[in-house]
Amino acid sequence: MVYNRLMFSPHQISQDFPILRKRIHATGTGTGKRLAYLDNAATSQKPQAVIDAISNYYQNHNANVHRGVHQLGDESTKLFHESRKVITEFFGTTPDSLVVTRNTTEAINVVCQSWGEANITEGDTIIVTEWEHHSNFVPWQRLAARKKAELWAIPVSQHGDLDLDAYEQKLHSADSVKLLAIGHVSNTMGSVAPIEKLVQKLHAKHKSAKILVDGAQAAPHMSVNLSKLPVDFYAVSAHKMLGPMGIGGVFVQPKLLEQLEPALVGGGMIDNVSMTETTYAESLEDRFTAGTPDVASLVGWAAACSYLKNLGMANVEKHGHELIEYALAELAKIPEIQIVGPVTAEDRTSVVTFLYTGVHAHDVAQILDSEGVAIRSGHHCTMPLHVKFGWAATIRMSFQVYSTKEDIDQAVLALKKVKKIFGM
Amino acid sequence: MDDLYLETILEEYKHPQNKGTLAEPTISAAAKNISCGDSVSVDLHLDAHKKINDLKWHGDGCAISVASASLVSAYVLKKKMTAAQAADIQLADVLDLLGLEQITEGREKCAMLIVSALQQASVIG
Repeated sequence: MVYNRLMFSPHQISQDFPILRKRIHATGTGTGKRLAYLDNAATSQKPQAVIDAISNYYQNHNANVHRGVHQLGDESTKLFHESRKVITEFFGTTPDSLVVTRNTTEAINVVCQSWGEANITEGDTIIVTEWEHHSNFVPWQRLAARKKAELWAIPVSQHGDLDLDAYEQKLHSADSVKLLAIGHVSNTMGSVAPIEKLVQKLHAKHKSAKILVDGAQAAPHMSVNLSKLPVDFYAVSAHKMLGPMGIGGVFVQPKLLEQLEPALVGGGMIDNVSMTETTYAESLEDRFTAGTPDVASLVGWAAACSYLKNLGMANVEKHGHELIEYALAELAKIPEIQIVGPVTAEDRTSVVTFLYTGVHAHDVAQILDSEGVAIRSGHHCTMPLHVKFGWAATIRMSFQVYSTKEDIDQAVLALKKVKKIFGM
Repeated sequence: MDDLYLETILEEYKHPQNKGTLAEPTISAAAKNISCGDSVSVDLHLDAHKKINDLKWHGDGCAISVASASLVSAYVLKKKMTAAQAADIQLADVLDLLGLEQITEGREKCAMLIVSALQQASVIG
């Protein structure tokens, strides 16, 4: 369905997502509960357009790419290239910058193994933040340990602020900072990192340092224009931005990508293979695509990008902002709830995380589920952050283009049931 | 899933049995549930016949893991089990104690956290 950009209606948008019509805990006798899907930071639901694009690929165009001269092979190859173009355009970059992986975690591992292996040496410093998802923490921790490099994290306050003074001090005292690896948006707190400011400070002292941004939580909610953002590597997952699971990638400045050794080698990425040596494909798109690619998922991801582009990312961002403001105001009415991360909607994207005094996050999530509300409880793959603040587990509500104030109302009503059940 | 929070479970959660530590345990062990950050530690005291004659547990967790720890600890003491017998307690046994017919896969680890700690104790002992 094509929407008028001026009329962004989440109710109308939700009609495009078949799963949202599902009744939760329906039994033989009961009709169940309306689904309020508020676990979008874990994964988003998929519009019919994405489901159809994948299905259509397998029904009408499936063949391996870059092989043979038959019609289906041509169609598949064309869809493969068109999809790469649509996806990279969505991010303000070009097809020769995209290295496709299964997800953000794999994308960061690929950078770690190709760029990191070749460039991090003993005594170097890698800077991350305390809010990193394990995907942007564990690979660097392992690399730093093996290379005898230092891994240092910018401290984060309970309300999601980065300690920029500590960062500047570190930039001054460290001899050689080689990499800033940072989550664009904290998946736990929802805070948005001031990328430009951080990079400016970094390059003032360490000119050749590289910047990797984990964009998994930013890409679904804000306009990411890589022609303007001063970063070297930008990693994303399709499934958080209305696309299929199992596909994502990292956008790398082509000049930098040109210098990197592919992390995976083998079929499809070669120029010439002899018994003694192999040369790699000239085209960067080919050089970093080892083995048969997941064309159907790539097509699905491109359909998701088109869907979001049609809605307009400025509208998407504004909608997310309105929902956060509303959720913060409604949650403030429940005295047992303590907000984690920024207390205002400013510098935040579509995540609201909280603690419920006296009741474990898992119990809260379970009771909300009984009312049809899907939210996430746990450490959200940010264990160091949870340990720092002594949170065993937190409760996270996260939004998408189809989320409505009614979803939040349903969650707030269910949160009142928690109090009733636990007799507080 | 409304029936997950039965009176007995909430009662055990609010007033857990055998919560605490032993001054001189024969074996101490712990288990963690990575997905929710819960942890439970057990202190066992064994008699000359290797039977558990005292047991205390401590830790923080959700209603299900606390109620399980409470009921399983009482069950182990009542049955005068050895550490090996306690380590062999099955999910079905725990659900019986909780008064539940079933539990979702996501909550199985919560229900079995105390048993994981008892299994650790059995390995150490």
